[in-house]
Amino acid sequence: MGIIPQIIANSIIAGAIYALVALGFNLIYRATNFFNLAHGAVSVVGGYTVFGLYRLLGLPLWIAIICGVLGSGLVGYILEKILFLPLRKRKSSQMVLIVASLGAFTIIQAVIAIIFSSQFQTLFDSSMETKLYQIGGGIITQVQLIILIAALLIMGTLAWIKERTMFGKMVSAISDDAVVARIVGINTNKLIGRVFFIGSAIAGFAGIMIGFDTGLEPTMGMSLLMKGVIAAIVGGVGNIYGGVLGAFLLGFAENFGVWQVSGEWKDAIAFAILIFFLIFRPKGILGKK
Amino acid sequence: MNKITKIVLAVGVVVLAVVGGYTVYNKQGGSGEQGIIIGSVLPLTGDLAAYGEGSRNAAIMAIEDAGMKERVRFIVEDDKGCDPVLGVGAVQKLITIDKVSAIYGPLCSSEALSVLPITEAAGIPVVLSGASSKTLTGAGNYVFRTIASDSVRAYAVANYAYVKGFRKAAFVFDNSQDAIIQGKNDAQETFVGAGGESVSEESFGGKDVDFKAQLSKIKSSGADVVFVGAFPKTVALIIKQAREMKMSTQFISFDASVDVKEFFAIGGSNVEGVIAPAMVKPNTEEAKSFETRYKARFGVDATMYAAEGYDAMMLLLKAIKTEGVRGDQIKAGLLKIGNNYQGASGIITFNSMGDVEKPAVVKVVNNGVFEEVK
Repeated sequence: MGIIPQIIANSIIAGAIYALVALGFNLIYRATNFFNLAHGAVSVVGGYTVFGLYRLLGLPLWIAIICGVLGSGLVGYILEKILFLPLRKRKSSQMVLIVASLGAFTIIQAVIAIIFSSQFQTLFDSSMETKLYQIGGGIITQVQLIILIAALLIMGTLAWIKERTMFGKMVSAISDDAVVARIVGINTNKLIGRVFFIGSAIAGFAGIMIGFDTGLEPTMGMSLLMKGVIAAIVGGVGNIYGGVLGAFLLGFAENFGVWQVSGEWKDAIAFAILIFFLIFRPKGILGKK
Repeated sequence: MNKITKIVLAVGVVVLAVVGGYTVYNKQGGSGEQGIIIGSVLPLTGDLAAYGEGSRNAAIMAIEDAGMKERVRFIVEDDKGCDPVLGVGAVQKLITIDKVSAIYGPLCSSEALSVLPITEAAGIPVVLSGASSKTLTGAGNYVFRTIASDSVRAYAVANYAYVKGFRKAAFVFDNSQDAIIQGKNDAQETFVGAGGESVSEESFGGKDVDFKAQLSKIKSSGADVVFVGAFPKTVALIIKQAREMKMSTQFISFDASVDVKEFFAIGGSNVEGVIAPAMVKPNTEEAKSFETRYKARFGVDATMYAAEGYDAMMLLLKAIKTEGVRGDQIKAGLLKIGNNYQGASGIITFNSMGDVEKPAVVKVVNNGVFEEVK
């Protein structure tokens, strides 16, 4: 059996993980027009909530996962209400918001490390057999398959919400022009709060899935965030399909790059793609829609 | 606030800072006259916390056993998983502010290599119990270690692999750690020297968690054995991901550090049959007594490197007792006492470069524990 089917499978798995991070990130960017760097840490919150409830307290897995997703959503919502909303009301610049989100990122990461220690933890039970699936010559685990299906489902749902619901249209309106949206009677702050909740909940789900696939570390948020941001920029910031497209492109570039060059070039390849797009196509492949 | 108030306030703050700083500095520096101050840099949190904790405990036990609890002030700084940057900062603080006479640790070779220029310039002796890269041999005039260089263990597993009939080896390793890179080179040279072939070589950065691309390449290279070197959790992740890709190839860690709880917690049944080298546990009264007393004192089994740490601290204290606290006195003392010394980790004889020679064994995972192969 050739090596290519497995590399394609690896690329798709990596792409699906990046897509989950990029989806929530893009959703929040769409409504607020700023880079929420705290998104990476919010994702880790989800993973560690499940770790605490499922591995330490022994609650049923499904309850732990629901709590993890909702917990991340809640952290995102609270950040918006106590940090970003007051700053926006004060007409703070984008720069201030980004720095504030970086501060929030650092605080959340530190709190997680204090509660759970900075040791590497896993959500999976290592004594259990992992289910493997063979798809076209490449092998993929059950968790990875769930990640892939979830990423596509969430993308589909978000696209449906955007096109078919009042909520989606209002978010688009805020994204185009927040002032006009407010004039026509949209309660922008309430809406942005909800967007933060949904986007952060998706990030939390990503963190949980990564905890099952590889494992958790308090500091893993930054690299997750970076890959999510690169995916978003490559595909088109604020664009739902764009984020997913960018994520898979990044996954393929990294894995084929490592195959052809060498493992230590992985991050260099990812950031070279970012720089290329920033210079030659700053709007990303699809642009913001 | 008018201008004068501002100036008065500013002057007040500066005066307070200077006075406060001076008092603190004096207080910490001053106690050097009465007691012996020994500094240490260990991974108390992060990936290697288990080893850091064990090394600290062993040092504390040595201080107590030497009856020097009242005279020795032992200061331990956390390098959060062998971070060389934190290590350098901590060592600078230990030397300039705490005015230590000697340093115990660091545990990792890369960190040890980055702090040595500072300790050498200050003439402060360093005793190492876990840093085992061969690069450290002869790296300074004041460096001593109670652990043998990695080479001996890398040779042991590479030879074992060849004898067992493996002929095509792949190497996958963390290229951010000096000891691992050296270990990889040693294992590779030995395996190829014996007549084997090195068919694939893959590296990655220290923070990576996805190794599927490297493993895919190794899988297609036709290797019948994979030598792996990284932090224990990373080795476990690599093997887990390999098994998830239906790779049933024999995995061999060329570094001894994998024999730790988290390796099995992450690896589970995937790491059954994995081979790794180990230090020989000496079958002596000293070694057995250390293990029982360690367990009685701390309630847990002694970790790997703990016996080496106990010996390092004990030799250091004996050297200080007999010769004095100056760097050159400690060095003379260590060379004098570290000669056919019966320690908890075996017989210690420092050569002129501060190194020891100790044998290695090969172990294999059987039902979740490393057992010596016959």
